[in-house]
Amino acid sequence: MSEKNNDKWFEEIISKTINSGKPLFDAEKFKQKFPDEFRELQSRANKPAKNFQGTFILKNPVIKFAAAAIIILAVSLFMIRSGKDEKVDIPKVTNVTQSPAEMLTLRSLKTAYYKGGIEAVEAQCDKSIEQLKQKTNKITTNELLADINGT
Amino acid sequence: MIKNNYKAFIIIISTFLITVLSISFSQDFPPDNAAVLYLRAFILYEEPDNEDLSNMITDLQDGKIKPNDEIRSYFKKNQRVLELVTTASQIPNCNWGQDHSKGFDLMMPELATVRRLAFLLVADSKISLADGDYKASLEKCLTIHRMARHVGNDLMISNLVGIAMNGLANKHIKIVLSEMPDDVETLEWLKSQMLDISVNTPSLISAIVNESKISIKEMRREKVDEILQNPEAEEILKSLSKEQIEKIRNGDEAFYEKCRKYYLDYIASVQAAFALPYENAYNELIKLSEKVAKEVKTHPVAFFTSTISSSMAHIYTGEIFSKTSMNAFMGAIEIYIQKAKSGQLPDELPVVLPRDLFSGKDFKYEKTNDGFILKCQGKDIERNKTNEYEFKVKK
Repeated sequence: MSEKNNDKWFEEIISKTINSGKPLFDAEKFKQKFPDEFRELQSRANKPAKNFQGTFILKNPVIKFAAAAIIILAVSLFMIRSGKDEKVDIPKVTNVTQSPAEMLTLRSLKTAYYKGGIEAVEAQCDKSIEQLKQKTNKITTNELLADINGT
Repeated sequence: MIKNNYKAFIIIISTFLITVLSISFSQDFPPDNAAVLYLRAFILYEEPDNEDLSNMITDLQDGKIKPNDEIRSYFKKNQRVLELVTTASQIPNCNWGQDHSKGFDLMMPELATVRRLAFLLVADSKISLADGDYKASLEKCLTIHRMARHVGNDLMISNLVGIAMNGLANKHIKIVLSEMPDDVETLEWLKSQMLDISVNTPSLISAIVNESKISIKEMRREKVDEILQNPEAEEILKSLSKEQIEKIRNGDEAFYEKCRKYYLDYIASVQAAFALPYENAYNELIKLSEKVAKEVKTHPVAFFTSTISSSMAHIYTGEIFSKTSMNAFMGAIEIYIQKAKSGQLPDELPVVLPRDLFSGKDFKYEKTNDGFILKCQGKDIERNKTNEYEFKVKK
Protein backbone atom coordinates (compact mmCIF):
# COMPACT_ATOMS: atom_id res chain seq x y z
CA MET A 1 0.00 0.00 0.00
CA SER A 2 1.50 3.35 -1.07
CA GLU A 3 1.60 6.33 1.27
CA LYS A 4 -0.82 8.20 -0.94
CA ASN A 5 -3.24 5.30 -1.08
CA ASN A 6 -2.84 4.82 2.62
CA ASP A 7 -3.97 8.40 3.29
CA LYS A 8 -6.87 8.05 0.84
CA TRP A 9 -7.95 4.79 2.42
CA PHE A 10 -7.73 6.39 5.85
CA GLU A 11 -9.75 9.42 4.72
CA GLU A 12 -12.42 7.07 3.37
CA ILE A 13 -12.78 5.41 6.74
CA ILE A 14 -13.16 8.79 8.42
CA SER A 15 -15.49 9.96 5.71
CA LYS A 16 -17.71 6.87 6.06
CA THR A 17 -17.77 7.32 9.78
CA ILE A 18 -18.72 10.99 9.52
CA ASN A 19 -21.35 10.39 6.89
CA SER A 20 -23.00 7.72 8.98
CA GLY A 21 -23.86 10.43 11.44
CA LYS A 22 -22.51 8.35 14.39
CA PRO A 23 -19.01 8.15 15.90
CA LEU A 24 -18.21 4.54 14.92
CA PHE A 25 -14.42 4.51 14.82
CA ASP A 26 -12.87 2.03 17.29
CA ALA A 27 -9.07 1.54 17.22
CA GLU A 28 -9.21 -1.99 18.74
CA LYS A 29 -11.81 -3.17 16.25
CA PHE A 30 -9.79 -1.58 13.48
CA LYS A 31 -6.72 -3.55 14.61
CA GLN A 32 -8.69 -6.81 14.61
CA LYS A 33 -10.35 -6.19 11.30
CA PHE A 34 -7.33 -4.88 9.38
CA PRO A 35 -4.26 -6.55 11.01
CA ASP A 36 -2.01 -6.12 7.91
CA GLU A 37 -2.80 -2.45 7.53
CA PHE A 38 -2.29 -1.92 11.26
CA ARG A 39 1.13 -3.61 11.14
CA GLU A 40 2.14 -1.53 8.12
CA LEU A 41 1.12 1.65 9.87
CA GLN A 42 3.08 0.56 12.94
CA SER A 43 6.19 -0.30 10.91
CA ARG A 44 6.00 3.07 9.17
CA ALA A 45 5.87 4.75 12.52
CA ASN A 46 9.36 3.37 13.25
CA LYS A 47 10.89 4.87 10.06
CA PRO A 48 12.71 8.23 10.45
CA ALA A 49 10.91 11.36 9.30
CA LYS A 50 12.00 12.62 5.88
CA ASN A 51 10.46 16.09 5.97
CA PHE A 52 9.57 18.64 8.59
CA GLN A 53 8.00 17.89 11.96
CA GLY A 54 4.39 18.27 10.72
CA THR A 55 4.80 15.45 8.25
CA PHE A 56 6.21 13.26 10.99
CA ILE A 57 3.26 13.98 13.21
CA LEU A 58 0.79 13.08 10.45
CA LYS A 59 2.61 9.82 9.78
CA ASN A 60 2.70 8.76 13.39
CA PRO A 61 -0.14 6.18 13.63
CA VAL A 62 -0.87 6.84 17.25
CA ILE A 63 -1.18 10.58 16.68
CA LYS A 64 -3.08 9.86 13.46
CA PHE A 65 -5.61 7.69 15.30
CA ALA A 66 -5.87 10.22 18.07
CA ALA A 67 -6.36 13.03 15.53
CA ALA A 68 -8.95 10.99 13.67
CA ALA A 69 -10.79 10.22 16.89
CA ILE A 70 -10.80 13.91 17.83
CA ILE A 71 -12.04 14.92 14.37
CA ILE A 72 -14.77 12.28 14.45
CA LEU A 73 -15.82 13.27 17.93
CA ALA A 74 -15.84 16.97 17.06
CA VAL A 75 -17.80 16.43 13.83
CA SER A 76 -20.25 14.14 15.61
CA LEU A 77 -20.81 16.62 18.39
CA PHE A 78 -21.26 19.40 15.83
CA MET A 79 -23.76 17.34 13.86
CA ILE A 80 -25.73 16.38 16.95
CA ARG A 81 -25.80 20.01 18.05
CA SER A 82 -26.63 21.47 14.64
CA GLY A 83 -29.28 18.78 14.16
CA LYS A 84 -30.99 20.05 17.28
CA ASP A 85 -30.77 23.63 16.04
CA GLU A 86 -32.41 22.82 12.71
CA LYS A 87 -35.62 21.89 14.45
CA VAL A 88 -37.81 24.97 14.50
CA ASP A 89 -40.25 25.01 17.32
CA ILE A 90 -43.51 25.74 15.49
CA PRO A 91 -46.51 24.70 17.55
CA LYS A 92 -48.48 22.05 15.71
CA VAL A 93 -52.26 21.92 15.60
CA THR A 94 -53.65 18.45 16.17
CA ASN A 95 -55.13 17.17 12.94
CA VAL A 96 -58.77 16.61 13.86
CA THR A 97 -61.77 16.36 11.57
CA GLN A 98 -62.89 19.84 10.59
CA SER A 99 -66.43 21.02 11.17
CA PRO A 100 -68.36 22.39 8.14
CA ALA A 101 -67.83 25.91 9.51
CA GLU A 102 -64.07 25.35 9.71
CA MET A 103 -64.00 23.83 6.24
CA LEU A 104 -65.54 26.98 4.84
CA THR A 105 -63.17 29.53 6.31
CA LEU A 106 -61.01 31.53 3.94
CA ARG A 107 -57.90 29.91 5.47
CA SER A 108 -59.17 26.38 4.94
CA LEU A 109 -60.34 27.06 1.39
CA LYS A 110 -57.02 28.72 0.48
CA THR A 111 -55.20 25.67 1.80
CA ALA A 112 -57.47 23.42 -0.27
CA TYR A 113 -56.70 25.51 -3.34
CA TYR A 114 -52.97 25.30 -2.69
CA LYS A 115 -53.17 21.51 -2.36
CA GLY A 116 -55.49 20.67 -5.24
CA GLY A 117 -56.62 23.73 -7.17
CA ILE A 118 -60.22 24.74 -7.70
CA GLU A 119 -61.35 21.10 -7.75
CA ALA A 120 -60.17 20.71 -4.15
CA VAL A 121 -62.05 23.90 -3.16
CA GLU A 122 -65.21 22.57 -4.79
CA ALA A 123 -64.79 19.18 -3.13
CA GLN A 124 -64.39 20.86 0.25
CA CYS A 125 -67.58 22.90 -0.29
CA ASP A 126 -69.50 19.75 -1.20
CA LYS A 127 -68.09 17.82 1.75
CA SER A 128 -69.19 20.53 4.16
CA ILE A 129 -72.73 20.38 2.81
CA GLU A 130 -72.75 16.59 3.14
CA GLN A 131 -71.71 16.91 6.78
CA LEU A 132 -74.37 19.52 7.44
CA LYS A 133 -76.98 17.32 5.79
CA GLN A 134 -76.16 14.51 8.18
CA LYS A 135 -76.50 16.78 11.20
CA THR A 136 -79.74 18.49 10.19
CA ASN A 137 -82.76 16.88 11.76
CA LYS A 138 -86.23 17.93 10.84
CA ILE A 139 -88.31 19.19 13.76
CA THR A 140 -91.54 17.29 14.23
CA THR A 141 -94.77 19.08 15.15
CA ASN A 142 -94.75 17.35 18.54
CA GLU A 143 -91.24 18.60 19.24
CA LEU A 144 -92.28 22.10 18.24
CA LEU A 145 -95.31 21.98 20.53
CA ALA A 146 -93.12 20.66 23.32
CA ASP A 147 -90.79 23.63 22.84
CA ILE A 148 -93.69 26.08 22.85
CA ASN A 149 -95.14 24.54 26.01
CA GLY A 150 -91.73 24.46 27.61
CA THR A 151 -92.04 20.75 28.33
CA MET B 1 -96.54 85.13 -1.01
CA ILE B 2 -99.32 82.63 -1.67
CA LYS B 3 -97.30 81.24 -4.56
CA ASN B 4 -94.30 80.71 -2.28
CA ASN B 5 -96.42 78.99 0.36
CA TYR B 6 -97.90 76.77 -2.31
CA LYS B 7 -94.40 75.82 -3.53
CA ALA B 8 -93.29 75.02 0.03
CA PHE B 9 -96.42 72.89 0.53
CA ILE B 10 -95.73 70.94 -2.67
CA ILE B 11 -92.08 70.37 -1.64
CA ILE B 12 -93.10 69.14 1.85
CA ILE B 13 -95.79 66.82 0.46
CA SER B 14 -93.40 65.46 -2.23
CA THR B 15 -90.69 64.82 0.32
CA PHE B 16 -93.17 63.00 2.57
CA LEU B 17 -94.47 60.87 -0.28
CA ILE B 18 -90.96 59.97 -1.47
CA THR B 19 -90.01 58.95 2.08
CA VAL B 20 -93.13 56.84 2.57
CA LEU B 21 -92.81 55.23 -0.85
CA SER B 22 -89.14 54.41 -0.36
CA ILE B 23 -89.94 52.79 3.02
CA SER B 24 -92.79 50.79 1.53
CA PHE B 25 -90.65 49.81 -1.48
CA SER B 26 -87.80 48.75 0.78
CA GLN B 27 -90.19 46.25 2.39
CA ASP B 28 -91.37 45.07 -0.99
CA PHE B 29 -90.44 41.82 -2.69
CA PRO B 30 -87.87 41.05 -3.97
CA PRO B 31 -85.46 42.59 -1.46
CA ASP B 32 -82.44 44.53 -2.69
CA ASN B 33 -80.05 41.86 -1.46
CA ALA B 34 -79.97 38.59 -3.42
CA ALA B 35 -78.18 36.79 -0.56
CA VAL B 36 -81.39 36.86 1.51
CA LEU B 37 -83.26 34.92 -1.16
CA TYR B 38 -80.44 32.44 -1.79
CA LEU B 39 -80.33 31.63 1.91
CA ARG B 40 -84.12 31.29 2.09
CA ALA B 41 -83.98 28.98 -0.89
CA PHE B 42 -81.34 26.88 0.78
CA ILE B 43 -83.34 26.63 4.00
CA LEU B 44 -86.34 25.36 2.01
CA TYR B 45 -84.34 23.12 -0.31
CA GLU B 46 -85.26 19.49 0.16
CA GLU B 47 -82.42 17.07 -0.39
CA PRO B 48 -83.15 13.73 -2.12
CA ASP B 49 -84.37 11.37 0.63
CA ASN B 50 -82.66 8.27 -0.69
CA GLU B 51 -79.37 7.29 -2.30
CA ASP B 52 -81.02 5.97 -5.49
CA LEU B 53 -82.75 9.27 -6.19
CA SER B 54 -79.54 11.15 -5.46
CA ASN B 55 -77.65 8.96 -7.96
CA MET B 56 -80.40 9.36 -10.56
CA ILE B 57 -80.16 13.15 -10.30
CA THR B 58 -76.38 12.97 -10.74
CA ASP B 59 -76.86 10.76 -13.81
CA LEU B 60 -79.42 13.22 -15.18
CA GLN B 61 -76.93 16.09 -14.71
CA ASP B 62 -74.31 14.06 -16.57
CA GLY B 63 -76.74 13.32 -19.41
CA LYS B 64 -76.66 9.57 -18.73
CA ILE B 65 -80.41 9.22 -18.20
CA LYS B 66 -83.62 11.04 -19.10
CA PRO B 67 -85.88 12.43 -16.36
CA ASN B 68 -88.30 9.83 -14.94
CA ASP B 69 -91.39 10.24 -12.73
CA GLU B 70 -89.46 10.04 -9.49
CA ILE B 71 -87.05 12.79 -10.58
CA ARG B 72 -89.89 14.98 -11.85
CA SER B 73 -91.78 14.56 -8.57
CA TYR B 74 -88.64 15.56 -6.64
CA PHE B 75 -88.20 18.71 -8.73
CA LYS B 76 -91.87 19.58 -8.35
CA LYS B 77 -91.34 19.58 -4.58
CA ASN B 78 -88.39 21.97 -5.00
CA GLN B 79 -90.15 24.25 -7.51
CA ARG B 80 -90.53 27.15 -5.07
CA VAL B 81 -86.85 26.86 -4.19
CA LEU B 82 -85.89 27.13 -7.86
CA GLU B 83 -88.17 30.14 -8.29
CA LEU B 84 -86.49 31.87 -5.34
CA VAL B 85 -83.06 31.17 -6.81
CA THR B 86 -84.07 32.54 -10.20
CA THR B 87 -85.46 35.71 -8.60
CA ALA B 88 -82.33 36.10 -6.48
CA SER B 89 -80.06 35.78 -9.50
CA GLN B 90 -81.78 38.75 -11.15
CA ILE B 91 -81.17 41.13 -8.23
CA PRO B 92 -78.12 43.31 -8.96
CA ASN B 93 -76.91 43.59 -5.37
CA CYS B 94 -75.69 40.64 -3.30
CA ASN B 95 -74.17 41.14 0.13
CA TRP B 96 -73.24 37.94 1.99
CA GLY B 97 -72.45 39.77 5.19
CA GLN B 98 -68.87 38.53 5.35
CA ASP B 99 -66.91 39.75 8.33
CA HIS B 100 -63.55 40.78 6.86
CA SER B 101 -62.29 41.72 10.31
CA LYS B 102 -61.99 37.97 11.03
CA GLY B 103 -59.07 37.79 8.63
CA PHE B 104 -58.42 34.32 7.22
CA ASP B 105 -60.98 32.95 9.70
CA LEU B 106 -63.86 34.60 7.87
CA MET B 107 -66.43 32.03 6.85
CA MET B 108 -67.75 31.60 3.33
CA PRO B 109 -70.69 29.17 3.57
CA GLU B 110 -72.28 30.82 0.55
CA LEU B 111 -69.78 29.05 -1.73
CA ALA B 112 -71.12 25.65 -0.70
CA THR B 113 -74.74 26.82 -0.72
CA VAL B 114 -74.67 28.41 -4.14
CA ARG B 115 -72.82 25.49 -5.68
CA ARG B 116 -75.49 23.11 -4.37
CA LEU B 117 -78.25 25.23 -5.85
CA ALA B 118 -76.34 25.48 -9.16
CA PHE B 119 -76.27 21.70 -9.51
CA LEU B 120 -79.99 21.61 -8.80
CA LEU B 121 -80.43 24.06 -11.67
CA VAL B 122 -78.31 21.92 -14.02
CA ALA B 123 -80.60 18.95 -13.41
CA ASP B 124 -83.69 21.14 -13.84
CA SER B 125 -82.22 22.47 -17.09
CA LYS B 126 -81.91 18.87 -18.29
CA ILE B 127 -85.61 18.28 -17.58
CA SER B 128 -86.57 21.34 -19.66
CA LEU B 129 -84.25 20.13 -22.43
CA ALA B 130 -85.83 16.67 -22.40
CA ASP B 131 -89.25 18.36 -22.67
CA GLY B 132 -88.07 20.38 -25.69
CA ASP B 133 -88.33 23.69 -23.84
CA TYR B 134 -84.95 25.02 -24.98
CA LYS B 135 -85.44 28.58 -23.80
CA ALA B 136 -86.33 27.42 -20.27
CA SER B 137 -83.31 25.12 -20.30
CA LEU B 138 -81.04 28.01 -21.37
CA GLU B 139 -82.61 30.32 -18.78
CA LYS B 140 -81.60 27.90 -16.01
CA CYS B 141 -78.01 27.90 -17.29
CA LEU B 142 -78.06 31.71 -17.41
CA THR B 143 -79.27 31.70 -13.80
CA ILE B 144 -76.08 29.78 -12.89
CA HIS B 145 -74.02 32.46 -14.68
CA ARG B 146 -75.78 35.20 -12.69
CA MET B 147 -75.25 33.30 -9.45
CA ALA B 148 -71.55 33.07 -10.31
CA ARG B 149 -71.50 36.86 -10.54
CA HIS B 150 -73.01 37.07 -7.04
CA VAL B 151 -70.59 34.60 -5.51
CA GLY B 152 -67.41 35.74 -7.22
CA ASN B 153 -67.41 39.44 -6.56
CA ASP B 154 -65.45 39.61 -3.34
CA LEU B 155 -62.34 37.52 -2.67
CA MET B 156 -59.96 35.50 -4.82
CA ILE B 157 -61.23 32.08 -3.71
CA SER B 158 -64.87 33.07 -4.29
CA ASN B 159 -63.90 34.53 -7.67
CA LEU B 160 -62.37 31.18 -8.66
CA VAL B 161 -65.51 29.33 -7.54
CA GLY B 162 -67.50 31.80 -9.67
CA ILE B 163 -65.26 31.06 -12.66
CA ALA B 164 -65.87 27.32 -12.17
CA MET B 165 -69.65 27.96 -12.09
CA ASN B 166 -69.38 29.90 -15.37
CA GLY B 167 -67.68 26.83 -16.83
CA LEU B 168 -70.50 24.60 -15.56
CA ALA B 169 -73.15 26.86 -17.12
CA ASN B 170 -71.34 27.07 -20.47
CA LYS B 171 -70.94 23.30 -20.61
CA HIS B 172 -74.72 22.89 -20.48
CA ILE B 173 -75.50 25.83 -22.77
CA LYS B 174 -73.31 24.09 -25.35
CA ILE B 175 -75.40 20.91 -25.03
CA VAL B 176 -78.66 22.83 -25.42
CA LEU B 177 -77.34 24.66 -28.51
CA SER B 178 -76.32 21.35 -30.08
CA GLU B 179 -79.86 19.97 -29.72
CA MET B 180 -81.89 23.12 -30.39
CA PRO B 181 -83.53 23.57 -33.81
CA ASP B 182 -82.95 26.90 -35.62
CA ASP B 183 -84.69 29.62 -33.58
CA VAL B 184 -83.45 33.17 -34.27
CA GLU B 185 -85.59 34.77 -31.57
CA THR B 186 -84.30 32.52 -28.75
CA LEU B 187 -80.72 32.85 -29.97
CA GLU B 188 -80.95 36.67 -30.12
CA TRP B 189 -82.35 36.61 -26.58
CA LEU B 190 -79.52 34.33 -25.44
CA LYS B 191 -76.97 36.65 -27.07
CA SER B 192 -78.27 39.71 -25.21
CA GLN B 193 -78.34 37.80 -21.90
CA MET B 194 -74.80 36.48 -22.38
CA LEU B 195 -73.58 39.97 -23.29
CA ASP B 196 -75.04 41.32 -20.05
CA ILE B 197 -73.40 38.51 -18.07
CA SER B 198 -69.98 38.90 -19.71
CA VAL B 199 -69.99 42.67 -19.12
CA ASN B 200 -70.81 42.19 -15.43
CA THR B 201 -68.33 39.38 -14.76
CA PRO B 202 -66.50 40.08 -11.48
CA SER B 203 -62.90 41.13 -11.87
CA LEU B 204 -60.21 38.81 -10.54
CA ILE B 205 -57.79 41.63 -9.87
CA SER B 206 -60.41 43.42 -7.69
CA ALA B 207 -60.82 40.18 -5.75
CA ILE B 208 -57.04 39.89 -5.33
CA VAL B 209 -56.87 43.48 -4.06
CA ASN B 210 -59.76 42.82 -1.64
CA GLU B 211 -58.03 39.70 -0.36
CA SER B 212 -54.75 41.57 0.03
CA LYS B 213 -56.50 43.91 2.49
CA ILE B 214 -57.28 40.86 4.62
CA SER B 215 -53.82 39.38 4.15
CA ILE B 216 -51.96 42.44 5.42
CA LYS B 217 -54.04 42.38 8.61
CA GLU B 218 -52.79 38.81 9.19
CA MET B 219 -49.14 39.87 9.03
CA ARG B 220 -48.59 40.30 12.73
CA ARG B 221 -46.94 38.43 15.53
CA GLU B 222 -50.14 37.02 17.05
CA LYS B 223 -51.11 35.37 13.76
CA VAL B 224 -47.76 34.27 12.42
CA ASP B 225 -47.73 30.75 13.90
CA GLU B 226 -50.99 29.94 12.09
CA ILE B 227 -49.49 31.14 8.81
CA LEU B 228 -46.30 29.15 9.36
CA GLN B 229 -48.40 25.97 9.62
CA ASN B 230 -50.05 26.46 6.22
CA PRO B 231 -48.87 23.96 3.60
CA GLU B 232 -47.98 26.84 1.27
CA ALA B 233 -45.55 28.09 3.95
CA GLU B 234 -44.09 24.65 4.62
CA GLU B 235 -42.06 24.45 1.40
CA ILE B 236 -40.69 27.95 1.80
CA LEU B 237 -39.63 27.32 5.39
CA LYS B 238 -37.41 24.46 4.22
CA SER B 239 -35.24 26.95 2.35
CA LEU B 240 -34.84 29.29 5.33
CA SER B 241 -32.33 29.20 8.16
CA LYS B 242 -33.32 28.92 11.80
CA GLU B 243 -32.45 32.58 12.35
CA GLN B 244 -34.64 33.69 9.45
CA ILE B 245 -37.61 31.68 10.72
CA GLU B 246 -37.11 33.09 14.20
CA LYS B 247 -37.03 36.56 12.71
CA ILE B 248 -40.41 35.90 11.03
CA ARG B 249 -41.90 34.43 14.20
CA ASN B 250 -40.63 36.98 16.64
CA GLY B 251 -40.27 40.06 14.50
CA ASP B 252 -41.10 43.45 15.95
CA GLU B 253 -43.74 45.76 14.55
CA ALA B 254 -41.16 47.44 12.30
CA PHE B 255 -40.40 44.04 10.71
CA TYR B 256 -44.09 43.25 10.07
CA GLU B 257 -44.60 46.74 8.66
CA LYS B 258 -41.82 46.02 6.15
CA CYS B 259 -43.53 42.69 5.31
CA ARG B 260 -46.80 44.52 4.63
CA LYS B 261 -45.08 47.10 2.45
CA TYR B 262 -43.27 44.39 0.48
CA TYR B 263 -46.60 42.57 -0.02
CA LEU B 264 -48.47 45.68 -1.16
CA ASP B 265 -45.66 46.55 -3.60
CA TYR B 266 -45.96 43.03 -4.99
CA ILE B 267 -49.76 43.35 -5.38
CA ALA B 268 -49.25 46.69 -7.18
CA SER B 269 -46.83 44.94 -9.58
CA VAL B 270 -49.40 42.14 -10.12
CA GLN B 271 -52.05 44.75 -10.91
CA ALA B 272 -49.74 46.33 -13.48
CA ALA B 273 -49.00 42.91 -15.00
CA PHE B 274 -52.71 42.08 -15.34
CA ALA B 275 -53.09 45.09 -17.65
CA LEU B 276 -50.63 43.59 -20.17
CA PRO B 277 -51.48 41.20 -23.02
CA TYR B 278 -51.62 37.55 -21.85
CA GLU B 279 -48.15 36.33 -22.78
CA ASN B 280 -46.41 39.43 -21.41
CA ALA B 281 -48.54 39.36 -18.27
CA TYR B 282 -47.82 35.67 -17.70
CA ASN B 283 -44.06 36.15 -18.12
CA GLU B 284 -44.12 39.19 -15.85
CA LEU B 285 -45.97 37.23 -13.13
CA ILE B 286 -43.44 34.40 -13.40
CA LYS B 287 -40.58 36.92 -13.12
CA LEU B 288 -42.20 38.49 -10.06
CA SER B 289 -42.66 35.08 -8.49
CA GLU B 290 -39.01 34.15 -9.14
CA LYS B 291 -37.85 37.47 -7.69
CA VAL B 292 -39.85 36.87 -4.50
CA ALA B 293 -38.64 33.24 -4.26
CA LYS B 294 -35.02 34.47 -4.55
CA GLU B 295 -35.41 37.36 -2.14
CA VAL B 296 -37.11 35.35 0.59
CA LYS B 297 -33.87 33.36 1.07
CA THR B 298 -32.03 36.47 2.18
CA HIS B 299 -34.83 38.84 3.21
CA PRO B 300 -37.46 37.34 5.55
CA VAL B 301 -39.73 40.34 4.83
CA ALA B 302 -40.60 38.57 1.56
CA PHE B 303 -41.90 35.49 3.39
CA PHE B 304 -45.65 36.30 3.47
CA THR B 305 -45.61 37.38 -0.17
CA SER B 306 -43.82 34.21 -1.19
CA THR B 307 -46.72 32.10 0.11
CA ILE B 308 -49.01 33.47 -2.62
CA SER B 309 -46.71 34.55 -5.45
CA SER B 310 -46.01 31.08 -6.84
CA SER B 311 -49.64 30.47 -7.88
CA MET B 312 -50.41 33.91 -9.34
CA ALA B 313 -49.55 33.09 -12.98
CA HIS B 314 -51.73 29.97 -12.72
CA ILE B 315 -54.66 31.94 -11.28
CA TYR B 316 -54.28 34.63 -13.94
CA THR B 317 -54.34 32.03 -16.71
CA GLY B 318 -57.55 30.65 -15.19
CA GLU B 319 -59.21 34.02 -15.59
CA ILE B 320 -57.99 34.46 -19.18
CA PHE B 321 -59.23 30.94 -19.94
CA SER B 322 -62.66 31.75 -18.49
CA LYS B 323 -62.98 35.09 -20.31
CA THR B 324 -61.80 33.56 -23.58
CA SER B 325 -64.41 30.79 -23.16
CA MET B 326 -67.11 33.43 -22.70
CA ASN B 327 -65.88 35.20 -25.84
CA ALA B 328 -65.91 31.91 -27.76
CA PHE B 329 -69.50 31.34 -26.63
CA MET B 330 -70.50 34.84 -27.74
CA GLY B 331 -68.91 34.14 -31.12
CA ALA B 332 -70.56 30.73 -31.36
CA ILE B 333 -74.02 32.19 -30.63
CA GLU B 334 -73.48 34.66 -33.50
CA ILE B 335 -72.62 31.75 -35.79
CA TYR B 336 -75.72 29.83 -34.62
CA ILE B 337 -77.81 32.95 -35.40
CA GLN B 338 -76.37 33.14 -38.94
CA LYS B 339 -77.05 29.45 -39.38
CA ALA B 340 -80.63 29.88 -38.12
CA LYS B 341 -81.17 32.76 -40.56
CA SER B 342 -79.62 31.22 -43.66
CA GLY B 343 -80.09 27.52 -42.96
CA GLN B 344 -76.33 26.85 -43.14
CA LEU B 345 -73.16 27.60 -41.28
CA PRO B 346 -71.25 30.65 -42.59
CA ASP B 347 -68.05 30.00 -44.55
CA GLU B 348 -66.18 32.66 -42.62
CA LEU B 349 -66.24 34.09 -39.13
CA PRO B 350 -68.67 37.03 -38.76
CA VAL B 351 -66.75 40.34 -38.83
CA VAL B 352 -66.97 41.81 -35.32
CA LEU B 353 -66.73 39.17 -32.61
CA PRO B 354 -65.08 39.02 -29.19
CA ARG B 355 -61.49 37.86 -29.41
CA ASP B 356 -59.23 35.11 -28.14
CA LEU B 357 -57.56 36.75 -25.14
CA PHE B 358 -54.55 34.42 -25.26
CA SER B 359 -53.44 36.08 -28.50
CA GLY B 360 -55.54 39.26 -28.68
CA LYS B 361 -56.57 38.08 -32.15
CA ASP B 362 -59.76 36.66 -33.67
CA PHE B 363 -60.56 33.00 -33.14
CA LYS B 364 -59.81 30.70 -36.06
CA TYR B 365 -63.04 29.29 -37.44
CA GLU B 366 -63.33 25.83 -38.93
CA LYS B 367 -66.38 23.93 -40.05
CA THR B 368 -66.56 20.25 -39.10
CA ASN B 369 -68.87 17.39 -40.10
CA ASP B 370 -71.25 18.05 -37.24
CA GLY B 371 -70.69 21.72 -36.42
CA PHE B 372 -67.74 24.06 -36.05
CA ILE B 373 -64.65 24.82 -33.96
CA LEU B 374 -63.33 28.13 -32.68
CA LYS B 375 -59.59 27.88 -32.13
CA CYS B 376 -57.41 30.21 -30.11
CA GLN B 377 -54.38 31.65 -31.89
CA GLY B 378 -52.36 32.15 -28.74
CA LYS B 379 -50.93 29.40 -26.57
CA ASP B 380 -52.20 28.76 -23.05
CA ILE B 381 -48.74 28.75 -21.45
CA GLU B 382 -49.95 27.17 -18.21
CA ARG B 383 -51.52 24.16 -19.93
CA ASN B 384 -48.94 24.21 -22.75
CA LYS B 385 -51.58 23.95 -25.46
CA THR B 386 -53.78 26.00 -27.75
CA ASN B 387 -57.38 25.86 -26.60
CA GLU B 388 -60.24 24.96 -28.92
CA TYR B 389 -64.00 25.24 -28.48
CA GLU B 390 -66.08 22.73 -30.39
CA PHE B 391 -69.79 23.33 -31.07
CA LYS B 392 -72.27 20.97 -32.67
CA VAL B 393 -75.40 21.83 -34.64
CA LYS B 394 -78.66 19.93 -34.89
CA LYS B 395 -78.87 18.16 -38.24
